[in-house]
Formats: sequence, C-alpha cells, structure tokens
Amino acid sequence: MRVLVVEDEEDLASALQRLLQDAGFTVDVSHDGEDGLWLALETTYDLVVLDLMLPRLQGERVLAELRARPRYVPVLVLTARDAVPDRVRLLDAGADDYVIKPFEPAELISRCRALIRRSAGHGSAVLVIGTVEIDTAQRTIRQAGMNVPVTPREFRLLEYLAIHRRRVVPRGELLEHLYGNSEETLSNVLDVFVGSLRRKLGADVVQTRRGHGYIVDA
Amino acid sequence: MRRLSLRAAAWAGVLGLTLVTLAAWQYWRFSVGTLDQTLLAEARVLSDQIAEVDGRLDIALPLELRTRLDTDESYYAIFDATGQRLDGSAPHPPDGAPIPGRRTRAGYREAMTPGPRGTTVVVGRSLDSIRRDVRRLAISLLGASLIVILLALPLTVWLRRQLGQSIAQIDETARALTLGQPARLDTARIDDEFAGVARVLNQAFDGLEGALARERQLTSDVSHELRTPVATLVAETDWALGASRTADEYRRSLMVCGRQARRMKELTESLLTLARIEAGTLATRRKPVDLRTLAEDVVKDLMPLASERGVTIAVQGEATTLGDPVQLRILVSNLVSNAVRYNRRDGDVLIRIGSLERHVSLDVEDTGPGLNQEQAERVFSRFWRADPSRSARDGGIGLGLAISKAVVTAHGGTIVCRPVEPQGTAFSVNLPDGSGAC
Repeated sequence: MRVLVVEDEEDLASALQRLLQDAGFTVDVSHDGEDGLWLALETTYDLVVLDLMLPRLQGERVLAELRARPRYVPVLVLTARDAVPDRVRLLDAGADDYVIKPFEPAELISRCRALIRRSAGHGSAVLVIGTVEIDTAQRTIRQAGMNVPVTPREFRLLEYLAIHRRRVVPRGELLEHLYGNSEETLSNVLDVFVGSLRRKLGADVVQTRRGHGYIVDA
Repeated sequence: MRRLSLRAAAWAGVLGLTLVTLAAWQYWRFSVGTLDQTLLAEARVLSDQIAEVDGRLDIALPLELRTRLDTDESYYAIFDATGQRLDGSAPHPPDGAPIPGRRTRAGYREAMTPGPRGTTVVVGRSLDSIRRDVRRLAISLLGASLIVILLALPLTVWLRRQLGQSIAQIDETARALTLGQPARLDTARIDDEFAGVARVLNQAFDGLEGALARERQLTSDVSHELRTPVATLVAETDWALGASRTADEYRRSLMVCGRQARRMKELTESLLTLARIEAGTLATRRKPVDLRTLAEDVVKDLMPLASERGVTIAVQGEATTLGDPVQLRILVSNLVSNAVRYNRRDGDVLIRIGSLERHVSLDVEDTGPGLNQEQAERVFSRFWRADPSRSARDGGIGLGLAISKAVVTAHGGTIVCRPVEPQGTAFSVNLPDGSGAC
C-alpha cells in the first residue's frame, strides 16, 4: 500500500512516515501543498494523509483539486480544528475521514487501513481467498486455521492482490504500490516473492497472466 | 415579593392603629381639660352665690344655674366647714369628704373649689358624652384608615408586579448568562428605579462576556498551537517505542522530542509573559530607561542571528523614556529580532530613536518583503503569522508582536506598523518622555 503524507511540520511528517512504514505501508512525504498536489496527481496512491495548514497551497485547496479530478483516491485529513462546523465542512469538501491533532498513532494507522480497504469495496479487515485468510490488521496469514509465516514483503504483495482480487494487477502497478519510487526495484523480485508465496500457500493462490500481471481469486 | 407586601400591609395596620390611639387619647385629654375648666368656672359661680347673712350661710342659686347643674348628666353640692351638705342636686349626691381639685369618680368628672366661710363647692358631670365622642372619633378614624389601606392595596399590588417584573427580568437574564447564552436586560421594559441598576448590570454583563470571549479565544488559540507539537511528540515516541531501534535512531527521536518540547516551553513562557503584562502584574516599575543603550544591548544579543542572515543593524539617535526596563527590553528585542528574521538576505535594519514633544519615538525599519494593508492591521493579533502554515523551524510562535503591543499599552504609548519606501516594514513606537524625571 502506497501512502502520501502531506505535512509541513517536518518532525511530524517524518514520525508519520516511519510509523506508517512500520505498519507495512510504502510512504512518500511532501512538505507543502503544491508539491503534495503534484505528487498525488502524478502517482497512483492508495491513500493521501493531508494536513490542512500548508505553505504555498492550503490543504483544503489540495483536497478540492484532488476531488475535481476523475480518479478517486481516499483522503484522510489531519486537522487541528475540532469544532463541528470545521469537521462538517471537511467531510462535505470530499475528505473520507479526519483525525484531530494530537491523534493516537495506532488509531491513525487503523483508519488508514480501513480507508484503503473500503475504497476497494471490502468491509472486513480479514480478506478471505479460498482457504487463505489475510488479516490486514494483525499482518498475519492463516491457511485452514494454521498460521503461515510470511515475510513483510510477501505479505504486502498478497495483501495488495487480495484487496484488488479478481482483477489482473500489472507488474508496474505492483512495483509502484509496494516499493514506491525510492526503492530500487528489479522486476524479477516480484517473481521471487510470488514463487515463495506459492510454495507456502499452494500453487494456485496467485496466478500469472503472462504479459499482463498477476491475479488472485480469479 | 408576596412576603414583602404582606409585611408592608402589616406595618401600615400597626401605624394606623397607633395613630388612631394617639388621636383618641389626645382628644380625650383635651375634652377632659376643657370640661375641667367649665366645671371649675361653674363651681366658682356657685361659690359666688354663697353669702353670709346674719351669721348664717345663705345660698341663693338662680333657677337658670340650678337647672343647668341639676340634670341627669350633672350634679353639684355645697358643704360647710364641718362637711355637712348644705345644698346640692338630687340625683347624684356626692359622698365622702370633698377634696379640692379635680378627680374622676364612677364615670363622673368632678371639680371642687373652696367657697367662702370654709364651704366647699363640688360640681360634677358625666364623662359619657366625651366617651361617646372619643368612640365616634376612633371609629371614624379607623374607618378612614381602612378605606385608605383598601384603596392603597391595588396600588401596592401594581407596584409589586412592576418591581416583580424588573426583578424577574434581572433574574431571567442572569440565569441565561449563567448558562452561557448571550442575554441582556431590556432597558426599555424597565423604567422604574431599576433602570439605572439594569444599565449598570448590562455593562457588567458586557464586560464579563467580553472577558469570557477573550478567554475562550485564547484557550482555543492555545490548544490549536499546542496540537501539532503534541501530535509530533506522541507520534515520535510511539514510533521509537514501537520496536527496537538503533542508538542513532533513538538519538534522533530524542532530538525531535526535545525540539517539540522546547517549542511548547517557548509557547508557555510567551503566553505567561503576555498574560502578566496584560494583567499588569509584571513589575510595573517606572524607571528612566536610556533607549539608545537598551537598543545597543539588544543588537549585541541578536548579532549571531543577524550575521547568520547577513543582516546589518544600525542604531540612530537617543532618548530616555520612563518605564519598566525588563518589559521595554522584551519590546525592543521582539521588534528587532522580527526585523532580522523577516528581512531579506543581506538586508538592513535601522533602529531610529528620537524625541518629540513630551514623547519619545522608537522606529524599527527593515528591508524585508513588507506587509500588505490587511496584514499590517492583523500583525498584532495573537498567533497571527504572515504565512498561515506554521513550522517550528522557520519562525516564532506568533506572540511576539502581541506581547510588544501589550508592553506599549501598559506604558501608555502607541505602536503602529507601516510600510516603508521603497521596500520593507516599520514598527513605530511612541512612549512617554522620561528625560525630565531623572
């Protein structure tokens, strides 16, 4: 899952980035509204975490610009204003959710997961593919009731495919969402992780559409 | 209110009764006194009729006098020196030894006067008629006061209702205010003695509400300012404690926490300073302060910041003002550090000190990007920043100019922000002159 954090307070942005990374997200950070908007439009993020008080371009303007485009991306707003009219205005302006500073990091992460999950049409935090259960909150995989140990990278790959189940996910999209721009990635790492997952969960869990990408729960 | 009007009625009753009693008593005394005069006069007339003829006492009462004194109401008697009755009216013969003077006996008023040859003349008259008069008087007075009270009753009820309305309105308004609703007394509806009270109360309510609104605004501002550093602290510590980190990571986390904590400390200190100056509790000593020396001191302190940005600071002129040295130092330091901070690189700051008639002026001019009209007006508001985004690194916490304004106000001066040509901003401070006070 790839998340963009737009927050001008550098210390807070950095802490958020590390917290979200620890929770299994790939995180990009922007420190002003203009740059943040450009990034959000240029990259297909699974979620944008948006502060309201931003230099150059206010958070509310960024939100309005994002909502003026046809492509939907969930937006979670960080706000210091807790009055009801402010919150109502935010939601009506197209924010999917908000947290009021100071927020509990665990709650923020849960909300991020929930937003990503819901935007793909899933209500439960546990995704079930045949006999495989993917617990996105606990970051564990069970098969037929037994825990299957997987690496974080394997988990993220399977999680992304499961959230977008029944859709062929191109290799490029996978690379972008799982590893971001910062990491140097070779296309064949995907084959390595997919191979490993097939060994652990069975050959037909992740299927290859040659020349297109991968699909789960076809 | 009901108890009050009952009490008033009771008092009116007691007062009426007392008045009636007093009037009756006075009337009684007056009538008896008049009767006494009459009786004495009659007794004297009687005694004038006693003459000694040939060693015998001769009493020759004219018929007119006898019939007047011998009635159902009156009696008379004449005794000789031995106490023997010589003459008298029939129905009421007085008995017992006659005593000179006046007395009241068995419903009769009696006057005795010595006559010639040791005789004693007694004249008495019934007090019934006076008693009747007094009773009549008392009854008519009581009736009159009852009528007055009865007539006054609707008046007191109306008065009570009138006062009650005013008090009820005051009560209602105070209640609404307690619940935090904006409410005022309708002075158009209160036109009695409470009108003045209502006006004063309204003023008090205005003052209170203003203070409350400022308090609320401050609380909301402060909580707003604290939210980001607290959020950063919580997020940073959560991350650091979330897993085992390297020594370097811990060090970096602690640096972040320290930075945020210091920002909160700065905010707290500035707020405290502002609150103290505004409350007037920060030492309001008035001492002659040499502004030139003060400005040079401040410039020395700000030298590292200025040279880091290549900003040159110059001080011109001199003057002495009367004020609190600590507060004035905060003022000058705030203005000059702003001028350095919001200047362009390698810009200039000019501190101009001058004397006007009974005033001294201190102008701090910079060569920064300047402020537009709207910004210049809002620049002294708490937590206002030219750039609405706030970063702990690139600026203050937005209280410096609010504090500066509070200092100037506390010293009875003025401060304005104005643009300077061709580019930059000036803060002009006017303070009372202090040169004569040394």
